[in-house]
Amino acid sequence: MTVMDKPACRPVSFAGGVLDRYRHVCAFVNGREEEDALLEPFVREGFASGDTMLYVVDPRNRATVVSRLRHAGFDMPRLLARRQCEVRTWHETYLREGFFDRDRTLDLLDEVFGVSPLPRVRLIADMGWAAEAKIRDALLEYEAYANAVQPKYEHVAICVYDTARFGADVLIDVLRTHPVALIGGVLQVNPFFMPLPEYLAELASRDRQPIDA
Amino acid sequence: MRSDGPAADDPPGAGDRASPASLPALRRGSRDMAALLALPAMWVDRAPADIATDLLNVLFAMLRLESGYVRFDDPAGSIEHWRPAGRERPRAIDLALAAAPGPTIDPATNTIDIEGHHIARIVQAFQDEHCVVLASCGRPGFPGDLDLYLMRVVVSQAATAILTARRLDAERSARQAAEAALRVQTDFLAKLADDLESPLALLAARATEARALASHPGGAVRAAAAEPALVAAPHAPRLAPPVALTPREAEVLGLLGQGLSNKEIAGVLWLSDRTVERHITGLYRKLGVERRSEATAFAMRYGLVDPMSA
Repeated sequence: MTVMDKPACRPVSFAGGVLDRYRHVCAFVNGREEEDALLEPFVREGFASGDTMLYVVDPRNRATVVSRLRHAGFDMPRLLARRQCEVRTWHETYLREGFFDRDRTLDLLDEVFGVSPLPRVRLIADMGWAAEAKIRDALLEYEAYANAVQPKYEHVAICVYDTARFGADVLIDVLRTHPVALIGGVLQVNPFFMPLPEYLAELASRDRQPIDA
Repeated sequence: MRSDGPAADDPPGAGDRASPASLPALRRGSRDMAALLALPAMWVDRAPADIATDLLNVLFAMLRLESGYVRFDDPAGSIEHWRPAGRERPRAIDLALAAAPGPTIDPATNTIDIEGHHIARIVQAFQDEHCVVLASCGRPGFPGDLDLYLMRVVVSQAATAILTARRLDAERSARQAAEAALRVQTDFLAKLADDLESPLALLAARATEARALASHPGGAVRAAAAEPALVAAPHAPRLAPPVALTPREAEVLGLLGQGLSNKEIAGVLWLSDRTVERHITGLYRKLGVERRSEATAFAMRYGLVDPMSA
């Protein structure tokens, strides 16, 4: 049995669809408004089911996330105190010590997801750090390897990519590393997904170039 | 043999590699897949109903179907088409619709056998819409992995195109309404300007007279000194804070300045409520302020809060 053939677990609603076996999603959004509209039902369902929301954000937006959730009607002091909502920054996760390390970040993902199967974790990660850090290949390798980590758990990972911050060539590669994608407001099983060995072989055959953000 | 879908390590259509006879099917599938990439370009500026009809046409051409059905539901209404065309839906389609489950993007079972018909079913939900597509074919082995794969791609393309078309329609309507409102406002302002022309001319004359009196060395009226700017110019260089703050104090002040409560600051920074209160009390003392609003103003003045992050 491959990692993608794991039996279906408790389904999760996202963007009008249902995440069943595939729970590593790339969500291409165009701006803050679209992102908020997309995530609010997912967050609401998560809190109602007792899941933990884990945000990874730009340090400048840490308070913004809390404020927006509060305005949406959530009792943020209570949720934060109970650790049902956590807000971590890029510097505490992807860019610890000021730089991105794929293996270290995969270990952190394994550690965060591996603490306990319950409560389920719904990770919402703003991937804008990669546009700023200009580290295309390392990002893509990380996303490809994350598909080997995430399916071990029932937790959900939504990688949010603001299409205004990344070039189309990077986004197409990002698309290849996620089994489920949200594109143009439609959630779909990704027909362009490439399994890890195949994708790594293709990456290895390319010249390494910085991305233009 | 029918499986539940492509395994992660197998390329699309690999389920059809059971025998050498499946290689032509695989090649045909690859060509079909490549052709499907052109669909979005073909559906630009098409009405949703036309896209739905076209979706059926593509499925018929690609899969050599006996009958097919497509329905897109949204709060504004439904678009529904079937083939063979007629006043009523084909019986097998009706029975399959009655048996359809709720929306899911990755159904474990997406075939129905009804009265000898093999029917492939795709159900997809997106935002506040969802669609159902049914395809019936007499070909042996239908639907195979490749058939389902191609169907999923085409349905996704059509769903995206219809969603885009509806958004564009909504934006077009909103723009037309805004333009109409703007015309009304412009007409009103023009009329207002006409009505005020005479009184304003009189006021201008009186202001000129007052200025002349004020500039006279012995004048009783002096112009007030220019008020200092209340808002820093954009991109003005950051000022260094007049007091030294520890990194933690700067962090707490930044979050306070962005409107978080003490408990929220404690939750975000993994501190106790008491520790946050102690930090804030210390900050008030250092900054020489007494209220949260004053501390916020300090934070904004010295760049500890990014106004663009709200």
